[in-house]
Amino acid sequence: MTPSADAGRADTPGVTATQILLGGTGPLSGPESQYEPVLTGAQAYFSYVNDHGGVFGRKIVYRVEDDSYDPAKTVQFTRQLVEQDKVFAIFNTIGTEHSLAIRGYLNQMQVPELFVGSGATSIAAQRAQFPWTLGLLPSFEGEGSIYGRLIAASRPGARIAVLYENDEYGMDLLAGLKSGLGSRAGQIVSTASYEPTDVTVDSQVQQLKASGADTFVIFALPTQAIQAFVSAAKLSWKPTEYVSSISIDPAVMQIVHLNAGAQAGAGATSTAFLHDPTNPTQLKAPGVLLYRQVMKKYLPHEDWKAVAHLYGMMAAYAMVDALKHAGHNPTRQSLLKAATHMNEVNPFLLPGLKLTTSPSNYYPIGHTYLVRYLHGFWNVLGKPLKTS
Amino acid sequence: MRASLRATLVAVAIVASLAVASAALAANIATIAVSGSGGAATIHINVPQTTDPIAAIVIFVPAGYTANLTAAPNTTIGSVDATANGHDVGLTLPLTGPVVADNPASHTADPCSPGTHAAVWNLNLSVAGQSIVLPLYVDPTAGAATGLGAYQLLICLPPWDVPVGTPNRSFEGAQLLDAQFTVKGIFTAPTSPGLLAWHTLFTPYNPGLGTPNPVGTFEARALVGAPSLSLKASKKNGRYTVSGTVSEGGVPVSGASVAIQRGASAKKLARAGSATTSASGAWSASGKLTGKVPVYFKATATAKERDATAQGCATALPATIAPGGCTSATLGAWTVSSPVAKLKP
Repeated sequence: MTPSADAGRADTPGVTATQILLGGTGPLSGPESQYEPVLTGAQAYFSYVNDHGGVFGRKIVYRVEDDSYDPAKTVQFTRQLVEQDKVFAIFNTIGTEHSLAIRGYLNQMQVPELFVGSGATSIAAQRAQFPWTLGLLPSFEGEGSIYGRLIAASRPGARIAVLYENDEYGMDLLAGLKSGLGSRAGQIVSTASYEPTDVTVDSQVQQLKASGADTFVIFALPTQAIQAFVSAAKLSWKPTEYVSSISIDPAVMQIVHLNAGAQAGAGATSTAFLHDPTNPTQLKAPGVLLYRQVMKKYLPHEDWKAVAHLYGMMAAYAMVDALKHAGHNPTRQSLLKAATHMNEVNPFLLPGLKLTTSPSNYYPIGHTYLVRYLHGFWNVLGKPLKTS
Repeated sequence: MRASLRATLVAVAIVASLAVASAALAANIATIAVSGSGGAATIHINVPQTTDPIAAIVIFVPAGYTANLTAAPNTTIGSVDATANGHDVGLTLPLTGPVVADNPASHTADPCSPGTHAAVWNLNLSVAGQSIVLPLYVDPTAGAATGLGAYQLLICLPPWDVPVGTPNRSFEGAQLLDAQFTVKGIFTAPTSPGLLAWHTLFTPYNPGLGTPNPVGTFEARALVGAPSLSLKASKKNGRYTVSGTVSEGGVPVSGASVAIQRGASAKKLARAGSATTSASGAWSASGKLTGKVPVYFKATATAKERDATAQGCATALPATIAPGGCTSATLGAWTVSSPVAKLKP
């Protein structure tokens, strides 16, 4: 369907008869550029949609600025995107601290801040105060709670050591773990935190091992998660391991094995909500086939094994869905309404998972699967578990 | 010859008289091996962690080779697998990705080798979505460099051992340890017999300074020869004997593995045994014959990369070119199959 010539009302920034302008920020350079595929994956999916007619005939233009993973730059570039570039909405901001840094401003300006790459409690829980900001990742606290419940049920005598990032991400997961353990929370015998700027986590792992723990819970970003697995293996510490889902890109275990042998990390447990394009059991899933098709056409020289690309496409799919439901002549208000009334089967999610929102549910992905690393892959276990 | 390499060689010539082998130079070593089949060429470079950081690698493709450098920009022409030591994170990293032809016009101002090149190939090295793109500059040789080969492939590497924050420092302090890249449909090997040497010059940085150290330039050599495997079959007293020789560039190959297949038809063969070549490249195997039907045999020999420094580096390049001497020579890996031999009943 073609929008009318005056579509995109004059008071709706970023929407014209032929295009919808979205803005975003993320680390396109620097040490955290491992998240760049989240942005390029989304970009590629928008290109795919545009080549198939766009959204009601409008092409999606996604303008991404490089914030080098520096929240101060996130603020600077977001202001530029809103005030100078006149974007319709901010989409797919990477990082909890970064999203929180722009949240007040965007809510004041009533600019939708959609599908933020975070599962922080503060984003979903403060929806009344910041209704224009919606996350995408499953609740970090909910994920931590899953591990807690699992350990309490399957290993009631566990002596638990926890490595966590010293920020909202790590502390949400730790709070969830304690909540899931319930009366067994006292079995956490040691905790150690790291700063994202720390060069190594060796001393923390050494300290955790010394506690006598037989269970190692790693709430860390990929680099530190790899270091934790490797460090434990080099210390000949063989606990039962759990790792947060943000660190289960296939490359993580590949690097762990290269540095500490094939047995390191084997049997580790995590959670997953996305397809893994390298997992032989998922190769023929429609979402993986679509992913490979989009990668081949729009990012032919990029690393298709990096799950972050697939995450970006999943986010873009949700954004396109929200734009469609925002109507032929979308406004920021109608987009927000659409984004907070979603009931979507997203092909990039594992089967059985849906993306659902409501004005009282700001965690779009409310369920996830347990996965265990065996025989070179993260194997999906059982039925979906609730995270929020 | 490109201006930058020419400048390097001139600089090397100037300092040749100073080319005394210091302890630091003596520690530097690398290997290169080249293999190929079916129109593909695989170049394998290994640099030990203890070698000074490498600033530039110039690979000379031997005279007699021809190269098709007409791949359109953005065409994938091969793949690369590498490992690097990420000093900033204390981890060895696996890197992999495509080799993609780029537009040489986009690289005329590259500090590594400014000017126009016949071709530029980007080695895309990725891990977990993070990528390092290493341009590889390809040109026919000219002038004095024609004595080293028909083409030269140049790669520049940023230093890893300078302080964090230094401009042009390698990403995450990555030190390339091993890289194997394959390009398809580019090189055609000559048919002439003999072993051909791929001379390769490694110019290190001055440790900790990030400045090239031309006096430290050293050579590694890849030796390549067309493999050949002969097979003849005979019978006596109800037993068969298959035998032959394995050579590489006309030189007998010792210690090569030979797998023997046999069957009732030329197209239906199953593994029937194995042999290892002697110092003269000869091999043989025997077995029992059953039935009065023709028997077909085929042999396949394989060789891994092999050190050949003693012979391969016997004649070093002039110190004006490689003051650090020839540090290694490596024979490439290959697989070769014999024609099928028929043994009548």
